[in-house]
Amino acid sequence: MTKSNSLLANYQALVQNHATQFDPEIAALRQLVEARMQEVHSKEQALVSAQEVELKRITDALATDARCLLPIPEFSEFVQEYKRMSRPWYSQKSESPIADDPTTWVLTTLEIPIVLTNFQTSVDPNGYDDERTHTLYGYSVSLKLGDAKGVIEVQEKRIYNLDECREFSSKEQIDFFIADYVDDVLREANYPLSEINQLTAEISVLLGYATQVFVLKPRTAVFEYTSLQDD
Amino acid sequence: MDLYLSLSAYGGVPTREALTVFWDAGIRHIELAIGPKPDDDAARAIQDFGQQGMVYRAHHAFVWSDRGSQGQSSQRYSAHRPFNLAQPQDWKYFQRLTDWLANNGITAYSVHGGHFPTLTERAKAYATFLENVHYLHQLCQERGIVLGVETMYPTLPIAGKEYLLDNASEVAQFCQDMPQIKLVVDLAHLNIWHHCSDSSKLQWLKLLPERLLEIHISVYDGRHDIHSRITQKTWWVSHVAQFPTSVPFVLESRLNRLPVSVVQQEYSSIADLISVASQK
Repeated sequence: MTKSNSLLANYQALVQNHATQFDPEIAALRQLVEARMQEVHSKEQALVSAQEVELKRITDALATDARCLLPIPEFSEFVQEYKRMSRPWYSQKSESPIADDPTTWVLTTLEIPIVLTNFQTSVDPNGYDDERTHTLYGYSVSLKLGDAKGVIEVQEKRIYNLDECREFSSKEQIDFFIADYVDDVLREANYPLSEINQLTAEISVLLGYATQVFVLKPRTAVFEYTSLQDD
Repeated sequence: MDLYLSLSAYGGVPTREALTVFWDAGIRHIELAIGPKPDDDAARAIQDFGQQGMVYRAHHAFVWSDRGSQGQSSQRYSAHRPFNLAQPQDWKYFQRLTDWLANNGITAYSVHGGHFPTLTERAKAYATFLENVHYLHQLCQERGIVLGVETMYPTLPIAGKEYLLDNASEVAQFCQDMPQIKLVVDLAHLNIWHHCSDSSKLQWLKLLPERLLEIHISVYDGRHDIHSRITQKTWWVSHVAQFPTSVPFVLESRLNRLPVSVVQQEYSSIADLISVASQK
């Protein structure tokens, strides 16, 4: 049997015909999009740079004194949401109430700044718990209070397999991870035991919100297009 | 008093690398556990250090190397196989595992209480667990291995599962149902038995020493399953003088990526801490 008489020959000819007609059109379209996106990127550059400058100003402010977040409405909303979320039922520490208005918090009376620097995200493909391995996503940030300092390491998400993921909510991140590190730093700074619980609660929530600010990125133009598929 | 360091204390690296750190830190008592990155060299590394004098115990789904099941008998591959003893088991796997333990002179093996989905029947899960532990105990006994079962902890409602042996009354029931099985008391797990006083938790250490296989120490300080380092604030530290003197301790605090000197320092300070018990 000759090759041209094969079962697939007609189909293959049609595919070739289609490629000849439409591949150049798709290539031209891709070039057009790339050229237009280059124009868009040129036009947006000033605005993206301005956002970068603004974000740098924000992280500089957090590195000077994170209490700059206290008066902003977004932080008040975060505090309200945090207070609405249920507390882990097995926690052994009594919960220190935090006031609705952060500008009235005890931490405003501290004479030294609350310094937050070196925010970094991390991925550990070799994470594990008591029974299973997982990929661990998290972040770390440095906290400095006068001479006392500590690196706060927080877990955000454990991916066990394609179907199973465990995410820690903002409240869990604050209660499970951040609060204990903050407590350690306050003890190192020799704050009176009578104030440590309240300050730990307030600084931990402030830090929990600050980490959401640290991850902000400049908004950039992105072109996404997916051809409609019949199947 | 023997203090073992769990391989879970130094995970994320190959078994040989973790054992090298422990060896260089002067540590000779190791509990094989989850943590090391599974690789083909795991069993060889364990054997090599064993020949140099490392002494081992083994815990739950520890990392080793398995010869595989049918059709793979000539192939050795890395093994870390999670299992849940509240469900039916592949007993051929446990036969190979206990054979390997026996062949390597490891005579103490402990497992977790099984777990079951929240809202399903605890009694049924417990019955399956008893059957499995009974069979595993037979496998161990035939090979000269002592089996222990670990006290577990209550999970968060969102976890979707609950552990057996996560409360005092069920552990007491288990001791009654399975008097031939030893208990592993995990003091970090007991820290989140929220309805128990410290003194009632410490009662578990007052069982006859022959009922206790080992005592696991680290910190779950009201948080999730994070094995943090023991400090003077840790709940049981002020009671250490009451601890039994003839039951081995296993340190499970996470020391990942820390240098040999810090591992050595941590191990020594905990060894000093628990030595108070033997000086009473």
